[in-house]
Amino acid sequence: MIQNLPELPANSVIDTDICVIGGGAAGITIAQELAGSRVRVCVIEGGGLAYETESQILFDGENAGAPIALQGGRLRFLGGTTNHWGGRCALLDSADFIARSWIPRSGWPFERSELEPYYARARKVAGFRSEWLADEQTLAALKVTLPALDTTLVRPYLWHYAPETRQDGVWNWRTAYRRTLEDAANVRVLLHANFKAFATTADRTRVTRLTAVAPNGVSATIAARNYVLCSGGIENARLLLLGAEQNPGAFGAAHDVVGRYFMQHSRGPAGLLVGAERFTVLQDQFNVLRGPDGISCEIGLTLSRQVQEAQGLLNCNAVLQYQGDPESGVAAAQEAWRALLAGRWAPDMGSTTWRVASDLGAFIHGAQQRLASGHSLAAEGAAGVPSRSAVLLLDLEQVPDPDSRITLAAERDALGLRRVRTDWRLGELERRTARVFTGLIAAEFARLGIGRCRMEPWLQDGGPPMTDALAETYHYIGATRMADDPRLGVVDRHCAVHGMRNLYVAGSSVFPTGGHTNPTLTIVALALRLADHLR
Amino acid sequence: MWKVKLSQGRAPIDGASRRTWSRRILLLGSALCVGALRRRTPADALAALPADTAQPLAAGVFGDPAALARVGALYLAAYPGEADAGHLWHMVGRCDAELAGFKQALRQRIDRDWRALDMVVIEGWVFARTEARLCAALHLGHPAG
Repeated sequence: MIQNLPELPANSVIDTDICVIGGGAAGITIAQELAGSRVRVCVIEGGGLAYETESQILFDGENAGAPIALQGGRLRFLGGTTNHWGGRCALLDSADFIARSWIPRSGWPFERSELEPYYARARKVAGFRSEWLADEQTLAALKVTLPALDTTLVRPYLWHYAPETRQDGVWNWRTAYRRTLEDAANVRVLLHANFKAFATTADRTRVTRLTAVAPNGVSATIAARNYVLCSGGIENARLLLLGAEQNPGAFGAAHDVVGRYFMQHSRGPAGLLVGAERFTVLQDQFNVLRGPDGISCEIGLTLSRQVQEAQGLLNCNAVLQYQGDPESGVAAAQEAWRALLAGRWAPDMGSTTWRVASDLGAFIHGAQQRLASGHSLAAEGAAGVPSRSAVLLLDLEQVPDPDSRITLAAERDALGLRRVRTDWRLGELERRTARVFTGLIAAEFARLGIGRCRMEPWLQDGGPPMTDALAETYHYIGATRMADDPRLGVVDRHCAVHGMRNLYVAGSSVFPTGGHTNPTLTIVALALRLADHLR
Repeated sequence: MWKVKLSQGRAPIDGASRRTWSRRILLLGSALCVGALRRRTPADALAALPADTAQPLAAGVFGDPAALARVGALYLAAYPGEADAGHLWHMVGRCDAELAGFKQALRQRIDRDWRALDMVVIEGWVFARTEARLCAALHLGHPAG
């Protein structure tokens, strides 16, 4: 069932088996997985069923380091940040789980094989109706033949996009699982229920109660056997820090690791690829392409593990963002069509028609590609529009840095709790990785006669700081990292907080190494694994 | 792996269409027939190269001989020790008086550079070392015959 905390009797006490704190990808995955079982689950969600400013504002905080969009990057209502999810899915690389000598504190306590069965289940939770094919088979299904890259340097990388739903667009956990949560007799979701306080046993090793409070002041106590923080990559750390403030020495505070090693995939343009001719072939290779099963895949590039190891670099990926040729027939048809939709003729209809006619072959191909990829002719974006240039867009792994961290600010929110303070730091290795990766792509594309690349100024000596060029991906990672050694991590390999017997963390905050790819599928896989552990 | 040496310079190199470039190659290429390898200007030196050899370098991306010569100047500013035209032409493969041999040697050197990741970055553009040396030779304008 789904209830509103403000509508419950004051000072209600809810007795349950598992208290899930946060109704996003991780929290809903655990709840829906246990729905119908004998395990009672209570999910407390700070927001409601839709965006509300009063709730969202509780995410406000301070930035001490590189900017973090504390409001824009996270969503505080049922479904959490999946409410603006792009649907891009991939597994972390096997090598991401292995410690790398050139990256201190890298690697996971287990190999990827531990997560494989959960990845398979996670794909279903994320809406995929069938197994993914191997990359080679996927490319064959897409009818893509890639250029003969030297894969000891750079190699192709594939993402799969979660299916879109007719009514909601990109798959999100709120609409996908709301009915399940409503119907399950053993699941109770409390909306507008914000974390207020933890209480523990005298030895501070076990959580005994959690107090949740609504904006109107109504509160409830949740007494559970186990508690799972599923509040997102930043909020998980904040809640542990608040718990430690309320219960000194507990909540992972013993070794001052909570909030440290805060990471994010940083994204930025690394170069401009320019061709002598239109990228007619390239646009059918490195792009978002829709397969025969209706699932879209994106083909990009990643840095080979050999180069990473030889040069001591991080993991990373790149995609091409094509800059549609405004002189092309497709662009001309777009202009004309948009004008017609606006109830007028294009300014120079004769010239526009001529541009379409004189570029008819490219127009037909581009329009087919555009429609196949789900874009209307009038929509913005370069999909299907022949391009002579493309921006090389990079996503970078980040070094686990103890000084890149989340702490508590002095200022308090409307609930009287200290707000979050982020100090996100990027280092020189991220820049060096981007520079070498861009150089290798430039070399390969030049060698193969595809085009020439101009590096962005931030990759050049004496260029602007990389924080000026890089943007957030909202993939908040590492601030409650996993490690067997409590001096190096907040949670153990089972996602249990070190030193606490019934407190767990789910979400990307437990990733000790973040790799380069989108984290949602791994978040869901870990949540399923934790659900099995707690069942 | 590759080491990058950057040169600071002016605004980005202007682009030009491949058609313009091909026409320019065609016009300037006529100089080839009259032994233009001994001319001293960058444009003439560029024209002395077989069109299909020069095109991978220019390829509609880098606008004109003057721009290529400027790349050469920036390369020499970064590597002043290479400011010797004879040596540069030798390094790019112009040790053989036979043009066909030069064309092949140039292609092989550029391909080898890419495979060996022997690259330089000038004003952000990524060049094979031999390409940059060719630009430098064009800048100096003393092609060895």
